[in-house]
Amino acid sequence: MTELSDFYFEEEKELVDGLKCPSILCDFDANCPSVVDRYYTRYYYRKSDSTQENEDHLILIHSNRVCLVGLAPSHIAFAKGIQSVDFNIGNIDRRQNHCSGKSKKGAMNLQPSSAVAIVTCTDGTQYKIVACVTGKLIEVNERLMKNPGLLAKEGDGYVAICLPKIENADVIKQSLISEELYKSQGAAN
Amino acid sequence: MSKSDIFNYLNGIGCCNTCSLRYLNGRFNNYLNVEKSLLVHGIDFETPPNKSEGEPSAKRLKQNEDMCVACLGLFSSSCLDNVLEQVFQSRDIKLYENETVLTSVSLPIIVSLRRLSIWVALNEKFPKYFSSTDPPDVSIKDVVKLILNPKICEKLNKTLELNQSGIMINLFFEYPEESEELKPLWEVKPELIAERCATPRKFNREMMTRAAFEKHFNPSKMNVHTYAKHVPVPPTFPKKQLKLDKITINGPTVFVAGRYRKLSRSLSQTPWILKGKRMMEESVSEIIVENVAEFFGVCPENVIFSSSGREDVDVRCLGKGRPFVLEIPDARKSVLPQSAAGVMEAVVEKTHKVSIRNLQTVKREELTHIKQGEENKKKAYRALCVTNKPVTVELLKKLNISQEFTTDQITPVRVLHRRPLRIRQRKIYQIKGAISKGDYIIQVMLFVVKLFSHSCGVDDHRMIILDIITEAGTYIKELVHGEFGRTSPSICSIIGQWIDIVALDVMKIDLEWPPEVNNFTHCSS
Repeated sequence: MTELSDFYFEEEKELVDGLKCPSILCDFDANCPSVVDRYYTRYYYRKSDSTQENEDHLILIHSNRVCLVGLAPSHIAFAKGIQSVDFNIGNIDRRQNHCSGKSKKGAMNLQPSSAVAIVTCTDGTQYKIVACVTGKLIEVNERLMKNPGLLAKEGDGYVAICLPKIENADVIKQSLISEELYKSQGAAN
Repeated sequence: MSKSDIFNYLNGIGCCNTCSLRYLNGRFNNYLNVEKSLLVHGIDFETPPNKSEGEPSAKRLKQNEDMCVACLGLFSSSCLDNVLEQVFQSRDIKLYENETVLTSVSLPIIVSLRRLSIWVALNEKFPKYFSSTDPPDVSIKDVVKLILNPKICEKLNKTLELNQSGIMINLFFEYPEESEELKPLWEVKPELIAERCATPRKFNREMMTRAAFEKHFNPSKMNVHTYAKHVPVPPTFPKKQLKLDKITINGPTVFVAGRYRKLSRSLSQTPWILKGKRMMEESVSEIIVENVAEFFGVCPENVIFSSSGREDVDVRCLGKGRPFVLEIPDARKSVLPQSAAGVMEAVVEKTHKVSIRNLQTVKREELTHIKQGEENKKKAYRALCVTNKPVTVELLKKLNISQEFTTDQITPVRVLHRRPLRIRQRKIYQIKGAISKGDYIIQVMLFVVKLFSHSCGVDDHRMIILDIITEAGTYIKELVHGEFGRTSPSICSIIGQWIDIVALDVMKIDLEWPPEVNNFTHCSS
């Protein structure tokens, strides 16, 4: 029988200036913030033409300004039940996007209201997922097509990655709703 | 026709004895005593040359003993003595402690032009001895160096070294009326000049360079008759002497290699500057450079640091460390004694942030190792991970993988703003998962603590230590958590459960360079 004791960690001795170098175990933090909390700031976007229904989007902005666009947990689609995600938005298929080089040449340009995907609910209603920010489309999360359930997971459920111009980064953040404000508005419900 | 005839001819057109010997193909050691060497060649240099031919020139010769149509007085003892005096008086020369020396000579194009005229003349006069394809002389630069080097070495008490590992003494000569004398060249090959005028930028706005002259002007590549029509053959007697324009003295570029360990989780490898602001006071490269540069008498800013890859700010590099090289230009010393290297290692060690070993000078050719190591070597990492459930034997079995596999990594978001979007395939050679032995005792203790305080949330039974061996270029943090599915398979997808990385150390970089040297004990003993 294999036991836990068979997997005991043995550390080599490492000296610095004659002293023992701190073990990696000292760095353990069981409550270490999640990947999203470590590197991203949450922002929210509300469609200006949105009717009574909640169509809030969640934008995770990395400290290097890269934006991961997805749906906020309060989005009506989750309540209705999600059937599928499609990147063919009618006139164009966002999966056709290609970018090359450091400067992401050839990428599709997005406006905040540009659709990047369409989500279909179990009742047949469709909602557009929009870019929320101005920038270049870097990639779409094709894994959502096979597994639409991922959409509900923060991080894994990102729909598209956008790269705003460096000079627009601050303006974009101002155009969105901060996490603090969003929560105070009680929109999270 | 004999060597004597050639000598007399050269002497007649106004060549000094040294230059005559050059055109007589004098061997290298002949130039230290030109007169004796000429005698060996069967030449009685004291007999006046054949009157019928050399009379007008010989007269001019008498006006200025030092002058020569070929070297423009460079080989005259007054000129050479002046050069040596200026070298020895130079303040810079005393700054360099390197034990070897080398001279370089830069001559104006006019010297090449005059050589060409003599070449054309000799071809015509002595076709049996000279040809259009083989150089007619022993290079003027080589002869200058041959004469100067022994004298410089003796006076400075240094040895001659041709591989540029010592002091470089660069002598720049100029000729006051050069451009005037070069003008006729425009008529010889007008198309060449036209091209250079039409595209000045391509040629750095220079009408003629030595390299271009030597490429386009030699007896086999031009019309000799056109040349002789525009340029005097043999050359006319010069009015001015060649002048020493300036002397520059440089130390060699020394390469110092070693391996570093990075022991801090808040230290970047090179200065980290964001939007013009420094994010951190120090960096690995600066700590190393500032402790090495001074010994070589060089400003730390001028030293170039390179290494075989790099680690993130919050990642330590342990074990034998990571190979690095410092490129130290204009060094005042060529050698790094073990004792001095040991002191540097000891001082860096005291920072407790960085540790260096195996410090040694290496040859420029060896630098290729470091870049190779960056691309095709294996790397060993240790990742401290946290799961959302207590670790079980089943989980640990899944995390002990000895079978090599490949993972597809899309460029991580954290570097996506400055790197192209690509899917990289990386080999994972081995994964070993372990748990800390102390965990269960600590757990019980912590459980007790927890009963009294809700703030303490440490529960080490969710801790896993992963030893991972991968191909260079694998992003380890993303390999563990999978970055939202962008790295696949990931450790997270393999175990089918949430896992995150808390801390990371580089354990081994599979590059056995530079060789191990034990400076540290050398210095402390």
